[in-house]
Amino acid sequence: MTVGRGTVVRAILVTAACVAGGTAPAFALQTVRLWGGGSVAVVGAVSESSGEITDLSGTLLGVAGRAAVGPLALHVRYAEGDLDPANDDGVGQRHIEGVALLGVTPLAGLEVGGGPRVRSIVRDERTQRWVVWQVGGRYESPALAPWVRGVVQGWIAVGGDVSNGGEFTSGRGGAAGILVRPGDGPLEIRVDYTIDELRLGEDAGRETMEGFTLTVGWGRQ
Amino acid sequence: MTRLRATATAIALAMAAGPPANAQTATDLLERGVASYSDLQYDPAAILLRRALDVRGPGALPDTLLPEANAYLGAVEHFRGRRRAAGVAFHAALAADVRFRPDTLVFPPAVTAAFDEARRETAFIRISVPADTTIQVGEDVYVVRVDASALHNVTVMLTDAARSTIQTLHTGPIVDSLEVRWDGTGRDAARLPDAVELRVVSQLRGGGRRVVRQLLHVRVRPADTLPFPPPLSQAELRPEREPANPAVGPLVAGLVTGVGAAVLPTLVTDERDGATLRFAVGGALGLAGVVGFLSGSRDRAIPENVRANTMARDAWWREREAVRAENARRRAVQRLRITAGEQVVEPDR
Repeated sequence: MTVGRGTVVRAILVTAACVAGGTAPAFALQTVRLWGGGSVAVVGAVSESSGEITDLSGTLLGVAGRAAVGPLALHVRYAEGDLDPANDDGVGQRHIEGVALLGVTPLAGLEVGGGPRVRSIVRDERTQRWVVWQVGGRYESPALAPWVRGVVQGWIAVGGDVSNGGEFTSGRGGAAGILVRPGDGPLEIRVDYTIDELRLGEDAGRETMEGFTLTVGWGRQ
Repeated sequence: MTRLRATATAIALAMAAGPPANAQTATDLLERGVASYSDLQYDPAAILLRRALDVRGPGALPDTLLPEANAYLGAVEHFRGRRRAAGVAFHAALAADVRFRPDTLVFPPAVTAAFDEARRETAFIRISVPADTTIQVGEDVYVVRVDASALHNVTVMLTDAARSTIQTLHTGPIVDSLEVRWDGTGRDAARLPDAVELRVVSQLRGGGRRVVRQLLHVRVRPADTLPFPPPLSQAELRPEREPANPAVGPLVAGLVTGVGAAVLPTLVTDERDGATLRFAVGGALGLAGVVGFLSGSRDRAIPENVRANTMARDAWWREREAVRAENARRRAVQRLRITAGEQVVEPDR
């Protein structure tokens, strides 16, 4: 478990450092907009390995942050928690996931970008680590009603690697949520429905996760 | 004799200016009487002068000649040795004009001395007031001049129609004239009656009294107030609301994100149907879009116009209050129009 968490954190930090190092000179004179928050997610997962399907569910606690300079933004997110099997004879797992995405905003409300998603699944003292490079987009609508905005995003994997399991073949996911900023102030409350699926080659296995995430954050947009 | 000729000339001029028939007779009689006096013909002079003074009606002597005519009659009676009749004539001269004094260049000292002796026994009063004037109560005064024929005690007072005293303006001696001032106020700040009387009560030597009444018509003049500013018209105010265009953007965005939440599982995986709760998220997004559409499509306030109108209304209200305060100040200042009526000398009592 320690190994899995360390790998995810290292990946996020390396990505963040690279992005920060590369963009710092260009945006040195611009204001950095920082945002951070915590999240709780109720998730359900389907883990399929060698034809064996396990339904799991549980709660993930996490943190998230964003640093934006001009049109560029770096998103990081980390979450972990235990997922319990739906059946008594199933095996539970520890779920650790981190994401670091670099995005750019070409149009108001639309952000496109990519970055690594690292997911570690610890089951029976055995860790399976997915490293997926993803690209995608995120659209945040203008105010639907006072203080209320809609968010929809999607991504697709362009490369990846899986340890202890097989060959990574594909992955995709998305989210849709409702975002409330009371008084259009710094407080942000967001509820997302998320779903993603990572697959191994030759139907050797897949990981499908679905859930609802409540995120409460504070900062400048 | 120069003054005597001047008197004769005045009489002649009065004759020329007066009514043609009877008046000419009265003044002619006067002229002939004065001529007889000058010729020391006192008996005919007395007859002529009495006839001149006895003429009544349109041909009577003008008031301006009455003191002079009586003075000549008094002088004639004095030289005829009829001192009592002389005194009566001199009193009549003073009654006609309390300020009359015989000319020392016309009449000899014996006559003027007899006149002064007779004058000291009199207490004739004349009241002079403005014919029509307006005073501001508390600021101006109404000036009354009282002339007297001789030194005596008087009381000058203001009374209502029932002769109830409103205000006593003077009590004491009067030498030959007196100016009294009335500030326009009534008794205990009560409203003044429409008609008041100015009464001058003279204490006579014999213990009686003589009353001269001057009627005064008093009207409270309404204050000249300022008009209120006219209410603000719609043309002076800016529109405070504007019709909004239909808020299609939020509606479309809400529906798109809402549908996105609903179809997301289909796009991501074909192995799982997706949680039903995602429809709640999608529905909330769609509902928010509808709310945004409805609220955004309503008329919207124009804050700068609302502010400008508020300032205009405040300015109008301040102007109105200023006018109200000024009018209240003006109404608090009472203005009286006082018109002089007739002057009556009551019989001695």
